[in-house]
Amino acid sequence: MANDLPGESSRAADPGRRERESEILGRVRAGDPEAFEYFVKTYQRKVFRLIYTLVRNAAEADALTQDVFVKAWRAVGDFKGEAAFETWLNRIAVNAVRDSVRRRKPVVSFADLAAAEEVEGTDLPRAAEPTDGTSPERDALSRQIRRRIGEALLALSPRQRAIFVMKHYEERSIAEIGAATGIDDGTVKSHLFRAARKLRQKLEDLR
Amino acid sequence: MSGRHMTEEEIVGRVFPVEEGPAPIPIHQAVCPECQQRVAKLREAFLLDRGAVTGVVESLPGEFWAAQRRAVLGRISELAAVEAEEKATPFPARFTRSILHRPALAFGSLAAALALVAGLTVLRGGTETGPPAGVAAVATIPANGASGLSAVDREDDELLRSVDSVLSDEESYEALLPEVMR
Repeated sequence: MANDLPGESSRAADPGRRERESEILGRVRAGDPEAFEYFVKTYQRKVFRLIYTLVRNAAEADALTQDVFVKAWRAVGDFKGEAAFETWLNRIAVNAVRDSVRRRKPVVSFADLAAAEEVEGTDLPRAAEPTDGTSPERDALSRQIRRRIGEALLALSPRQRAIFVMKHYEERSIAEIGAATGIDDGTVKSHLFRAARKLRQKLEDLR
Repeated sequence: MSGRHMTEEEIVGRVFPVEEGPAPIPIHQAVCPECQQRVAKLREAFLLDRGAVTGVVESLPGEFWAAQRRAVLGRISELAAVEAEEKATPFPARFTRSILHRPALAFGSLAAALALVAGLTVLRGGTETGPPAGVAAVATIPANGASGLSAVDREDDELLRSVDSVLSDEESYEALLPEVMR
């Protein structure tokens, strides 16, 4: 069975990839830092996307992504290959975001979110946004609710936010989320339930 | 109309289900346009948000990713070089070099060593020497009255004599200090 490990997505558990990565990891462990470029190149977009969804700031996501790969390189001797390298990287990323949030305790307001998007130019062009095109008012309302969702997400605890984002934004399985966060499936579900409840409270006034 | 309107919790649960796989549509939602609209509104907003995140990542230019790779690999190369150097350098040389590169640490260590020597000297010398001539003697109870003192008082008496002794020997400690610290 190709996918017999908990928390493995089919792409992460691709036997060919795992074999190739195992060989490259051997070179990294033997003291060839340049061999590590393969992992950066392969996973930097995925790691950045996960972190960006969690922190909603491109510069911070970039810095944290770099930290994740440096940490991974330093700890590569501890990687036993029981999970996929991607799952292991996700775990480092989730921990890095959690530590970063603990260090700075941000207070992000609704206005900050909107301003940050404008400054960074991170808003999707309107043409690319999934709207039904029936009404500009409805589009505006959707954008407002979207911002409220972003704000409500930032109000969740770092762990709940990570679990929620992996489930609903990254579309990862419960088992994958458990492997990336180091908690069992039941606890993952419990966090998901509580995160949804908190979101409901934050979005209660939206009717 | 079938039953009551969906609660907020049920609407959030429809858009963000905890369980995997498709969930059955509640009968009420299937027939109530108002509840359908509320579910659709939240789902649409969520999809907009998720689409925006994807848009951000996909809109970043190739140079961004190349620069990120360069930064990571640069940091890794630096760390690898430091680690290789540490492995290649024997311990005493590493220690000496680290001390020489940190003058504050060197002076701090020297000051701590001197304080330790001074402390030990005080403890040893205090029981052997009395207050020397020319130094303001600390008033103590005469020896003939010592039998009437408690153990605590006797210890205090000895401590005061030790302090006198140290004060009289101050010059000798100064000689141990480096020129800049005198």
